[in-house]
Amino acid sequence: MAEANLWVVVAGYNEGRVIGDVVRGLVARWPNVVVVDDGSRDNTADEAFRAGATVLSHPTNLGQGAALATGIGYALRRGADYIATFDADGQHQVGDIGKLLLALQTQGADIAIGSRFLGDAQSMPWSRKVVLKLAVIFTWIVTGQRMTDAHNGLRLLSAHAARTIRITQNRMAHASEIIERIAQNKLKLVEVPVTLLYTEYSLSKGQPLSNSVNIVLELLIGRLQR
Amino acid sequence: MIIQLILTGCLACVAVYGWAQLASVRIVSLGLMLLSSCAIYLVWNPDLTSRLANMVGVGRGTDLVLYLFLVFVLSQLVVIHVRLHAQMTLITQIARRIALDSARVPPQHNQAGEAPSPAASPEPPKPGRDVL
Repeated sequence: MAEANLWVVVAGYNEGRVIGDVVRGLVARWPNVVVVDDGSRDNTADEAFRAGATVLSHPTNLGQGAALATGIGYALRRGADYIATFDADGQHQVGDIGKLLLALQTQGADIAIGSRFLGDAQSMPWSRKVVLKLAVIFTWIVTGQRMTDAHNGLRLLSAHAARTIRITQNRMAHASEIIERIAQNKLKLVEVPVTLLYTEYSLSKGQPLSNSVNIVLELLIGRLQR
Repeated sequence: MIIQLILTGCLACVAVYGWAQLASVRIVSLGLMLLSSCAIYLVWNPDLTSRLANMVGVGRGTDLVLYLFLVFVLSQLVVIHVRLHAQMTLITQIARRIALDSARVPPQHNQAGEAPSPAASPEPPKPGRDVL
């Protein structure tokens, strides 16, 4: 299989402590890494650049959805055939990107999304499990798309899918928005088992349970405005 | 009596403000002038407010004013929300443009013959809609 022109997009907000290691891990396998520094107040941008990533800096904090949209737009400009989104907190495995690519190519899909419920979610707290399952049900009701893990940050989009899916939700509701666009545009989705590593750091950076209420609100308001 | 004077003064200011805006947003300023004129008239004829209230099935004139005020405030909240959202979209587009135009590209990428960073080639950014 010829090496694909694959870009990895990482959205980072105050991730200076870990972003360097995450980028070094990525660059070793996938040289095209773009980190979107979402108005961090720490050294996220410098650390990412020193580790070998292309760095785009939002002048102010806009949210993960906006940062991913910026990074995806940049990757498309650079002629990417495939674009992966990867969390900055180090809970995804670099090796899983290859699995996503393989699944996408062999199954002729437009987008591959990692699923921690098909794969391995190491040391996931049960409270998080419950919220994620509720999110799956909510996503199914709202978008009609059935999947096992609706909020996994590890995705791989074909250039076609990346152009079709316009992320307008600046903050966390973008994950559901992406699923909604997949359903609307009848893109072919494949779920791939991936491993998520819940470290103390990633848990502290993860969203509190209360945030799920905000996500639902953002989505509903977003619907009113279309 | 004193409250009537105060209210009249305030409402007159609103009317004057509406008149001053006549050139920019005609419909809004006409509406403002009409509303404040009506309000001034009602301030001096409170019985009329009560009769209007009775006509639509509200006991007291004060209550009618309160209900109308509530509807007005809620509708304004929606308007403000929509405007804020539009502004956020604008800010996002500007921030995105700034981020894209000031990309820091690691040197090995440029050597690989890929698109150079803006720093390496001072070519102006392409016009048009790059924003997603």
